[in-house]
Amino acid sequence: MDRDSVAVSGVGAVSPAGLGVPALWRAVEDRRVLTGPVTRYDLTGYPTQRAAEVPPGAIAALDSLVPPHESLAARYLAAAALEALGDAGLPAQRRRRRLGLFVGTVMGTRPLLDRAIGRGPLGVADRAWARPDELLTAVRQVVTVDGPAVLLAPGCSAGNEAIAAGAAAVASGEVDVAVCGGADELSLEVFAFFTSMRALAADTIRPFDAGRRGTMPGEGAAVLVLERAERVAARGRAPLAHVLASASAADAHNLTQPHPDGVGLIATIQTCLDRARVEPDDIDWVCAHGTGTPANDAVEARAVAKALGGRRRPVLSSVKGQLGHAEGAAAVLEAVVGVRALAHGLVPGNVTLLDPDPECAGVDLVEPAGRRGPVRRVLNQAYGFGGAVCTVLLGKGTPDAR
Amino acid sequence: MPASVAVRGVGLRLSEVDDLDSLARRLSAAPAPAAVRRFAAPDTVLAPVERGVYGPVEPRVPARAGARGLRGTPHESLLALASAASSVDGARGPEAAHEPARQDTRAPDDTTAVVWASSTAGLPEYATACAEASTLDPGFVAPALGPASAYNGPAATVSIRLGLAGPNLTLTGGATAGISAVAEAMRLIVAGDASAALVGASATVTRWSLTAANDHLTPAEGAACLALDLAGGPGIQLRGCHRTDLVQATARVIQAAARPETRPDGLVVSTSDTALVDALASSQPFPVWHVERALGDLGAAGGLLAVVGAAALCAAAGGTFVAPGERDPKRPTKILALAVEPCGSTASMEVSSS
Amino acid sequence: MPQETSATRLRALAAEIFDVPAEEITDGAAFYEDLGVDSLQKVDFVVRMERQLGLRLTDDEAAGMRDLGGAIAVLRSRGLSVGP
Repeated sequence: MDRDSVAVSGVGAVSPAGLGVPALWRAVEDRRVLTGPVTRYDLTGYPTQRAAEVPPGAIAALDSLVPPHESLAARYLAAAALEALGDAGLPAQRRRRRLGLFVGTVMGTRPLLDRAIGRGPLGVADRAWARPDELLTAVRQVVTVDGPAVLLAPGCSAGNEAIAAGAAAVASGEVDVAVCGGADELSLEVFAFFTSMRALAADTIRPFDAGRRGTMPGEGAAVLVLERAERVAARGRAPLAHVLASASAADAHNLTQPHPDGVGLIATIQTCLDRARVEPDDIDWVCAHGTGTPANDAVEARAVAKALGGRRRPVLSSVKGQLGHAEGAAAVLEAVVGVRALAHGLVPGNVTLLDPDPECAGVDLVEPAGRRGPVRRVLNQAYGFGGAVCTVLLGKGTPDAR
Repeated sequence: MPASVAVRGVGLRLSEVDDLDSLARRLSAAPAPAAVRRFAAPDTVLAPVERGVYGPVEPRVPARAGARGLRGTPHESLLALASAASSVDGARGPEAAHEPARQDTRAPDDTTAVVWASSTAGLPEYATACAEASTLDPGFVAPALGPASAYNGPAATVSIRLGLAGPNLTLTGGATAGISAVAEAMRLIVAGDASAALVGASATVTRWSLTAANDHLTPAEGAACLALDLAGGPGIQLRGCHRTDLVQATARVIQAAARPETRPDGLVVSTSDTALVDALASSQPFPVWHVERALGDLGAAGGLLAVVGAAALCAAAGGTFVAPGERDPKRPTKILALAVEPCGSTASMEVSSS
Repeated sequence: MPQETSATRLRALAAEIFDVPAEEITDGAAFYEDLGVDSLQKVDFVVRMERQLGLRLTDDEAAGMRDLGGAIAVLRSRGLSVGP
């Protein structure tokens, strides 16, 4: 399989920055921290009450863009898919092509049940919360899918697994167009159990900071449209980026804790380098999983330092300090930021970093301002509860950079 | 995608089904009576209901998965673990069942992938966590419910308990997920991410799953797992996965049936659409079996059970379903597994003996 | 909500959640190092204790519960009576 030829032809996003990739990238460039007090649920009595929400105005604006559906995640996904196909110059409805849908999620439509959480016995209204296929209903109403429709729920590696599966389907010729997305909406259930696990930060997510106290949920959806590079060129367009490689593995260690040596992450990074035939120093930005929990970040920094040991320390930052942890959407949102970083020559900073953790000294933590300069390759890593790991290597759109 | 993968072992945890032989018989027999059970959801407004279901199924976790630390593991993950461990024992021969359980301390070097399909995994845990959040003070939801409330509990449990460090994927949605799981596993083996794969699927029945259950089908619980690798040789082979819409899939079946050299010996369908199965059965020149009629509704697991059912029928070929003298016994048996979802999404796979 | 508990009751709770025999849970047996407990089981134990006793522990108090003796000490520091 010639993976070099898998191009990113369009991107779309719904995020705490609002609707659209321009809003997301502007927030990244402006170093905005998008976490704040939760408005969607009543969190009275909870010790921490912050998350990163898609703003109410953006949700209202979805009405004119996508079909109605009880699941916000389903509508986020449909909006991101329409934006990405438009960005690629592809009509959403059938035009003699094979289009496949590859979507990652963690909770899918289950957060519909959260709305029944109140004071007293749980009321249960509809049935869509127990039907995972409902997540794809809205997008299928606006996009003709005549190839695979694959819903991946492997934990928080979901978004990258969707990109990996779609890229393989393009490379093998199974589809002409792969719509690769991730989607999750804010879940009070997730908020409640993260509260019990004492894994939530009260004020700000500070990935890789010595004083980091935890993460916060985020939400949204993002989509990459993948096609063979020739197909994009035939439409007179230039690829936005390339999927140079992807790799999947598992820690096989513990349900909630990463392996202390990050074995799964190291294996996927090394495989990506081998497949793309690049050296550690060729990676200009490691877009970290970086959840801001004490357990995660030190393990991740050590594993990246080990896997990318070159002449210089690997350049690393996490955008979760700004966006929160959008679970199944996280890795695709980060891939969209990666595509923009490649195009604009900006490595986003660790915006909330105050006091770098000495345990993370093996990596070059990007200062909050970010760094301007050529960005040719971005390594995007994702993993989560259950131990599944998936890493994707993105390369610049213009061929000379490869 | 590779030309084909070979089935090295099968692990089954299904109601009234012990092995491939009994699975093949069950597919061809009249539907078994369903035991009526009572389902309740405490701390909710849902009234208890009584419903005929296939199950309960006891996990019977083999020794290789270890016994300690399974106490809080959700029922569906136990079913998954049991079927996966049995498929490994089947692949490695009877003596493998006595291999000691893995020690937790060493880093696993077995890069077998685990690819699982389920539409119910984590559902009771998610709902219970919501009920606790509704009835208890903030911060008192049982933490262990949380990680178990996503879809990936079965795949994660199999990977952690069996020490499998290959890719760990979970697919959800409708019946096509069970066939797509095989396709994604084949992709991971060919790409080199995985040395082999355990591909499984599972379902459980709870008061929660019944809120979304099809009225005209019998809900069922259970799990099945195939141990797959690339090596050739005799046995059951899987190949030719096609994922498309119903119009194109139907056209493929009709085209294949039109010529003797491409005609399958039978078709195993997983779908909630019984009229579609009847239409296929009346129009095609080969037998058509319906997973949901024989085994009940297992959601996303139905697609994988179509593949496992086709494997069982291949293994039993020459037995009950082919009339004597109708076929050359040396010719390999080829059965098509097909999954069709209400939205029109389909997936198919060719299962053959060689 | 009970404002008293006993070491025996706490030991039984830990034995159930950690899936180890109660006699292995001595006052000084470290949850992580000696009993092989993982962080999820540990936090599950803390929350179940909080629920039973109707109190909320701070993050530092929860982190300080490294063994049963440590858990009992934290509860006593919060004014609970912990019998044998």
